[in-house]
Amino acid sequence: MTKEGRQKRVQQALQAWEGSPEPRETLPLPWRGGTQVFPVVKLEVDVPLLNARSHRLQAKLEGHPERALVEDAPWDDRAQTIVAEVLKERHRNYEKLKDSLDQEGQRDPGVITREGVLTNANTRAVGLRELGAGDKRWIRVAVLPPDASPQELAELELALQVQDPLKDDYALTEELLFIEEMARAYEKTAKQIAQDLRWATTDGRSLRAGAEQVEQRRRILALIREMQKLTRPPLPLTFFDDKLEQLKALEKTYTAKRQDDPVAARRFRNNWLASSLAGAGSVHDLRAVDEDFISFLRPRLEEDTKLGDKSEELLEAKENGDASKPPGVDILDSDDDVDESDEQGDVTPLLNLLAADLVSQKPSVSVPGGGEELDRDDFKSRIKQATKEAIKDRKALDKAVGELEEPIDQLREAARRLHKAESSYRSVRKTSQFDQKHRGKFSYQLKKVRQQITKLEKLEEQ
Amino acid sequence: MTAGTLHVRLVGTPPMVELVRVGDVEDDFWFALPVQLAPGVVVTNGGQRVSVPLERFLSNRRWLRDVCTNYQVGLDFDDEVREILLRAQHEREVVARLLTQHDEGAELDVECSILISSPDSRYQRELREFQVRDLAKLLGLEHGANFSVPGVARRL
Repeated sequence: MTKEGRQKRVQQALQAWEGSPEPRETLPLPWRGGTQVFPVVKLEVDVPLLNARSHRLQAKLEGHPERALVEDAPWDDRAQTIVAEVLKERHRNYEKLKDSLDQEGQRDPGVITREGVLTNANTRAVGLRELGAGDKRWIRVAVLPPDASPQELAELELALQVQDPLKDDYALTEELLFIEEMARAYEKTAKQIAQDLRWATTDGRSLRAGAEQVEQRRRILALIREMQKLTRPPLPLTFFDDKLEQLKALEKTYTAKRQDDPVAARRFRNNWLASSLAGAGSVHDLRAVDEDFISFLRPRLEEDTKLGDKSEELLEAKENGDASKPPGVDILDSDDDVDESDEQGDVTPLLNLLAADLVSQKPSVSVPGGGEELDRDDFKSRIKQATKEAIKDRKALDKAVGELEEPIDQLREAARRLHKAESSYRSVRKTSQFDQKHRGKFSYQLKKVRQQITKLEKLEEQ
Repeated sequence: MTAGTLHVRLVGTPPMVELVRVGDVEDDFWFALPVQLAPGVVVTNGGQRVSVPLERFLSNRRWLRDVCTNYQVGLDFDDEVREILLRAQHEREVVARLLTQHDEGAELDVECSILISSPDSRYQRELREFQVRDLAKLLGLEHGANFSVPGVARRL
């Protein structure tokens, strides 16, 4: 169908709507700062175009081998087929949605532009097409005005998303890209975006908190982009989808370290990514990963029967100057990479191996240092095991240090509380309300403190 | 082969650092600059320049070095920014040297002792050895911090 043909079908459907008897179906939508009612028409389900620019697709499309084709000719048949596949793949409950369409039909109307591009109900359109019989040959859609701008379409998509709690949520990276687009393309401030997302009300404190949340999301996306540059091949954006809390913790620590010790910050970031790729997924586990994590990982890798003699290659120190430096950067402190390639090593070879495995999903992995091929699942489980053991070692060390500090911390706390007791006792001891009963209780507690201190002193002398 | 260049210059009062995008600088690099260096500043698709506070630029200069290397973006500084950066680099080297000069601190300690015992000095008490050592380190710096402390009525 040509572009003109599709527009004509939408126009004809609108004319049919106008000529039909009351009551005619309409749909109120948030539009241009208020609520506007739009006519709902019935179109054959093959007429609308799937929205290749939908924010639900961008994260998955970014890593798609035919991404350029979808970007260059989004309305061509091949691009539309790819979009349909991605929509099905990314939906959390596609089969359930399809069953529901089959049994109950389409409940809520979708939204379409005058050009016939779906703003809403893309996945439902794919489901109806697959069902394709009886009333499933039709889709009900509200038709937007002809002058709808891309920004208005984006705002509407977001408004429909946040007002419907049952709608399939955006994946994390879809949300990050959407926020980034609102800031970059539509010049929205963090406060405006927070309101659009309903993360903030108009109250000042709520707006500040919402804006900080938006800015944090933008910093997280920038950090993800940095990490994608670390590996060959680059990691797909969707790798980060289920890691919001982990990324929040990473971003906070990384940003704090970055100013004081950029070398440590880089090591921390790389170790975090390697551990995450290796399968250490929980926030709790990743909290144990820091810039010195290699010193825990190396011995565990060395213990492995198959990877032990490859640990040098897997954690090989990077050679200085392998990344060509663009002009001008040396003046931004040239001496902070002096110990970049020290005896600690570097996780870059391991990162590359894990990223290549994630992207290619080949049945075997070629381990550096001898070119031995290992079964993929075996390799992954060995790396995961070593990482988990290293995390356990790290936690055990922290706990041991904690246990050693415990008596000192407790005494410090006791001294602080005794100081407070002194000051509150001073303020009440001569008042009439601090009577015999209170004095008795005070003396009793003081005696207990003395006894405890005597016990500690005896222990100290032994 | 670089992917574009940033022109960096000092503008306005109080001084801000202006970054101008020239050539094929990647969007992900360009839009990360205000996010990391000047939160709240909106840079649009059409915008080719962004201003960030000098302090934030200086405190994030090593991050900028990393990210420029990752994205292969060159930097072209005007003379004022270059001088500030060179001075910052020099100060950093001095601090690093002073902090590792425990064993070589005798010379500085002597200088410091002379300074605090001179007729112009307002030091009232005799300082202990470790106090002289640490004071010598502080006096060796052009400045010790770049912030105001409310109530002390002066900038450190």
